[in-house]
Amino acid sequence: MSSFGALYQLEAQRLFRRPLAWLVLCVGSALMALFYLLLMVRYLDHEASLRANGVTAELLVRYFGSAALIVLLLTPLISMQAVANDKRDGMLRFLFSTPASSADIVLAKLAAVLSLVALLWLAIGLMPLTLLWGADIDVGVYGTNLLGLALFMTLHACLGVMCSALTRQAVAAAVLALAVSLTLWLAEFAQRLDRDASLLGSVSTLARMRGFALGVLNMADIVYFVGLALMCAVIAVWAVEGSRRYA
Amino acid sequence: MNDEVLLAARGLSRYYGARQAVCDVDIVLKRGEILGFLGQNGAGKSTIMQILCGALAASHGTVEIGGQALASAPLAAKAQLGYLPEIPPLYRDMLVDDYLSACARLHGVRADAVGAAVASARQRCGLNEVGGRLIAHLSKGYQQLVGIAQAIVHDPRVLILDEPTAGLDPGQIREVRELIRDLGRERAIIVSTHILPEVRALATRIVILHHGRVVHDAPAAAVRRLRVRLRDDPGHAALAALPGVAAAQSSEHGWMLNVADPEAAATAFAAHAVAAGWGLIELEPDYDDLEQRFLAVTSAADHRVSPGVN
Repeated sequence: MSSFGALYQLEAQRLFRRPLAWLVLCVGSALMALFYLLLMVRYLDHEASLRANGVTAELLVRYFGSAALIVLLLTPLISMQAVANDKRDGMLRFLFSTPASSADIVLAKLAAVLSLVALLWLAIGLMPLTLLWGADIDVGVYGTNLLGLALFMTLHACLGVMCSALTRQAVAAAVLALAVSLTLWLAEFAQRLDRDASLLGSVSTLARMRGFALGVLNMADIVYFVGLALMCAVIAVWAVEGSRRYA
Repeated sequence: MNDEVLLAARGLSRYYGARQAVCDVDIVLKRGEILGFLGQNGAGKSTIMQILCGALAASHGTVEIGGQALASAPLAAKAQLGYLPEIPPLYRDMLVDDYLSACARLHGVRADAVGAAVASARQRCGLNEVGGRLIAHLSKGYQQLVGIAQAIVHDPRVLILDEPTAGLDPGQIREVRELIRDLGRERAIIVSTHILPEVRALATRIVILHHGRVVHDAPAAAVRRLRVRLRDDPGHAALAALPGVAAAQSSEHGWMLNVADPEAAATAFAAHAVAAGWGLIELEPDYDDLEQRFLAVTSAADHRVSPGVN
C-alpha cells in the first residue's frame, strides 16, 4: 500500500471514530431537513402565488442556497483538527519520520475530510429527490445545484485543512476558516457598496454559486472553485513542509 | 558486528534563527552497534535525532540510512528507520492493534504481512494482553511500550530511541533493555538517555554531545574499569600483565584496572588474587567512570568555549 493509501486509511479511521464527525453529520442533516420542511410548508401555504415560479425555483433552489450556508458553518468543525492537533501533539514529527511526503500527509488528511463531507453532501443531495413523488422538478437545475454544492464543499474542506495546517490550535483553525469563508461569501456585498470593486464580486463564492443555482454551467465558476481549492491544498502542503524545514 | 554502515551523518548543523543548536556533527553507525547518546538538557540530542529520522531538516550536512540519502531518496531511507521520540507518538483514540497495523502499513509492510508484523511487535514488547484496548486507557508504561512497538513493527535496520525506558517499571525496563540488546545484534541503534547505567548496560559505543558538538566518541568498552584493593600490593607490572587487563593505575584506595569486560575480568581477577595470595579486600566494577567521564568532557568543553563567551 502506498504512503498516501496507508495514511488515508489511518486518517479516515480516526475521523469516523470521533463523535464530533457524526454529530456534525447529524446536525447538518437535521438542519437541512428542517429547512426543507419549512420551504415545503411555505410553498404549500402560498402555492397560488408561488406556482408561477415553480417548485424548482421556490423550493429546490432555495433549499440548496441554505445548504451552502450550513456547509459554510459546519465544514470548519470537520476540518479544524486535521493538521493542527498533529502539530500540537508532535504527531506531525512522527509522520515526517515515516516514508510519507508532506504532500502525502496533507492530501490523505484532506481526502479523509472530503469523505465525511461527501456523506453530508449525499444526505443533503438526496433529500430533494422526495419531490419527485408529487412534483415536476427541473432535473438539470437539480444537477447543477448538486455540482455547485460539491464544488463549494470541496473548496471549504480544502480551506479548512489549509487553516488547520497554519496553526497548532484546532479552535483557532476553525475560527480562521470561518472568517475566510464568510469573507469570500460576503465579498459580493462589498461590491454593492463600492461599484468599482468588481474584483470583490468575482471572488465571492455567493456570486459564483448563483450560476449553479439557476441551472447554468459556467466554466469560469468551475475553474474558480477548483483553482481556489487547489491553491488552498498547495498552501497546506507548503505550511506542513515548512514546519519540517523551519520549525 | 560487521562493517556494513547503516547510518552515516556528516557535517550536520542546525540553526534556530541565529542560534546554532547543532554544529558540524558526524555520526557513523555500523550494523551491530548500539550507540549511547549522552548530553545535558539542551545539548542538541533530540534535534540531531529528529534530523537523522527526517522529522527536521538540517541546515547543513547529509544523512544516509542503509545507503539511501535522506535528502534525495527520503522514502527509501525512512522505510529502513524506526523512531521513538521522547514523547511516544500515539493516537490515543485508537486501539493498540489498529494503531500498530496503521504504523506497519505506513512503513510499507505488505497488506498480507501486517497481521504477522503486528503480532510479532506486540509479543516482543509484552503487549499481547492489551492489543484490543484503547491507547488512552493504558498506563504510561504500556503507552511507552506501544511507542517502542510502533518503532519496530516494520523490522527496520536502524532504530533511533529517545528515552526508551521512560515511565517503565523495573521489570519492563529489564525486558526492554533485553529487547534492545537483541535487536542490536542485527541492526544499528541509537539510544538517547539521561540514565547512565542504561547506557552502560546497552551501548557498544558512547557519544557525548555538548552545546551541539560531539565532545566524546569512543567504544563503551574503553570506559570500563575495575576498582581493586589488596592487602599485599603486587605492584603495577604484575597487575598490568594480568589477562584481560589493558592498563593499571594506582588510585587513592588501591588500583584501577582498565578492562574490556568488567564481569569476566572481575571473576578472573578474584581467582588470580586468591591463588597468588594477594589478600583481596575489595573488588568492584567502577561504574562511576562513565559519570566522571561525562562530567569531565562537558566541563572541559565549557572551559574551551568560555573565553569566547566572555
